[in-house]
Amino acid sequence: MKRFSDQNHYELLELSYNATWGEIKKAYQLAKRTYSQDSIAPYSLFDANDREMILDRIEEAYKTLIDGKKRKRYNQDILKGSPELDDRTFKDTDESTTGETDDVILLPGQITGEALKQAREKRGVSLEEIADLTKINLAYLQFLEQDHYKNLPVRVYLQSYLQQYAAILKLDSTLVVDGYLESYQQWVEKNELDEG
Amino acid sequence: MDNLELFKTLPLPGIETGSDVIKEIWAIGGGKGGTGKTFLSTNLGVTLARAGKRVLLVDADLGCANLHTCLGVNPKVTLSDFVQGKVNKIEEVLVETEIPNLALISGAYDYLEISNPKYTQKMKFIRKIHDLNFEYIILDLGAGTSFTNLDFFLSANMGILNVIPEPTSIENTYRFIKSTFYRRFKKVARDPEVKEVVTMAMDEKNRLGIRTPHDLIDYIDTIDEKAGQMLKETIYAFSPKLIVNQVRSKDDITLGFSMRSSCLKYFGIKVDYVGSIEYDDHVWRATKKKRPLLLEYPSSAASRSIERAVKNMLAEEELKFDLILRA
Repeated sequence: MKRFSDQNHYELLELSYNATWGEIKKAYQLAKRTYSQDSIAPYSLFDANDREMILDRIEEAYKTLIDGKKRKRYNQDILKGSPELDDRTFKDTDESTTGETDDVILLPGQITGEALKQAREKRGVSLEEIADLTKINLAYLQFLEQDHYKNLPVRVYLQSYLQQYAAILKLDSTLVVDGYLESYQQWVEKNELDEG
Repeated sequence: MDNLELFKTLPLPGIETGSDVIKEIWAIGGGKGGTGKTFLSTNLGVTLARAGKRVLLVDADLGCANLHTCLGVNPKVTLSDFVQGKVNKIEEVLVETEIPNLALISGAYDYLEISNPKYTQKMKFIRKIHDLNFEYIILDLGAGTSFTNLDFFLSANMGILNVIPEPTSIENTYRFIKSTFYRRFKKVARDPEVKEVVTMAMDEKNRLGIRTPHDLIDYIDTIDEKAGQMLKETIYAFSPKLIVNQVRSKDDITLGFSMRSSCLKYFGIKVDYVGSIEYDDHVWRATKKKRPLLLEYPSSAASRSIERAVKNMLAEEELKFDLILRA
C-alpha cells in the first residue's frame, strides 16, 4: 500500500510491468477520465488539488511508458531502486510491447486479414475497442480480419475502414489500404468473371 | 413447528454427499437508502436458487424491513420472534417462498428496539444465522453506517457494495467502506491507545490531522509498529465487490472502473467491479406487483445484467475495461 505520490508509473496507472501498448493507452484514458475535475468517481475522497496532482503524475507516467526508449530507461531505474524486483519483472517487455512502430512487420503483398489481426493483437487492442472508437460495425471488422470479402461493404467504405483501422493501431496506412485492397480487387474481378 | 418440518424435508447437501457444505455468506450494503439493495438481494437470491443452490435470504434491515414485500410473502414468524425469545430455535423463523430452494428470514413487524440490538445479542443471532444449513446466505443490510450494518457486513465472506451513479450514493459508499474497516481496525487492535487513535480518526475533523487511511497507518506505525503492520494486513484482506446499479449510459458503466481506481488510491483496497445493472422500467413494474424481477421479467435487460453479475461473482471474475464497449 503506497500513497499515490510514492507510486511508480506502473502502479499509478494500475498496470502490470509487462503491459502492452494498447493496455497503456486504455489505462491512461481511464485514469484521465477518473481524476478529471468533473468526474464524480473520486467525489469526497480527492479534492481539486489532489486531482491536479494525480493528473500531472498520470501525464508523466503515460509519456514515459508509451515511448519505447523512455520506458526501457525507466525500467532500468525502477530495477535499481526496488530490491524486490529483478530482471524477470520485465521479461515480456520486448520490443513488441514497447510501442516502437517498427515492431509489427507488415510486408507489401502479405496484407491479409490474418496479418492485420496479428498486428492488432500485438498492440493489445481488441476489435470491440476499434468498433467503439470508429463506430464501424463490429461484424464488418470481423469480416475484414477473416478476409470475408463477400460480406464487406463496397470499396469506398472498405477503404475508409482500413484507414481508420490502421490509424488506431499506428500502422502504415498506405501499406495497409493498398495491400488489402489489392487482394480484395482480385477477388472482385474473379467474381465478375465467374458471374459473367 | 410447521416451518421446522418444512425445511427438514428439503435435501441437505452436506448430509447427502457426506462432504462439508461450502457455505457462502454474502452481505449487500453500501450506505445510501433507496439505491436498490433489497431489490439486488432478492434477485441475487432468486438467481442462485434458480441455479439449483439452497439459498437463504435474511432481512438484516432491522427496523425497516421489506424483503418480504419484494418476494410477495406475508411471514407469520420473523427474526424478532427469535431475538425476543418467543421461539427457541432460529430454524423456527424460516419462511418458505414460492421459489423452490429459496427460504427467507423476515424482519417484518419488528418490535422497535430491534434496530439497536446489544452487541452480544447481535453477535449471537449473526452466529446462529451463519450456522443454518444453506449453501448461500444473503444478508440484505439497511441504509447507513450503524454498527449493526457494519457488523453484518464484516461477518460475511463476501461484501457487496451497491452504488448508483450519483454523487450522494458514491459519497455514502466511501463513507461505508471507511466505517467498515475502521470498525474492523478497532476489533483487531489490542492496545487501548491504538483503539483510541482509530476512534479519533473516524472523525473527519480530528485534531491529529489524520485524513486518509494512509495517514492513520503512518500515525499508528509511530506508536506501535506491530499494530501498524496488522492494520496493513487488514486492508489487504478487505476486498469488497462493487455493483453499479441503475446505469443509463456507458459513462455510468465506466464509473465502476473509476471507483475501483479511487478506492485503490485512497484506501489502498482492491475492490472487484463485478457488474452493472441497467436502469430498467421492468424493475418498478415488478416491485409494484410485489414480485421478484427475475421471475416476472426474466428476459429484461436488468435481469440479464444481474445474472451476469452473479456469474462473475461465482467465477471470481470482474468486468474488464474493454469489455464494457461490447454492451
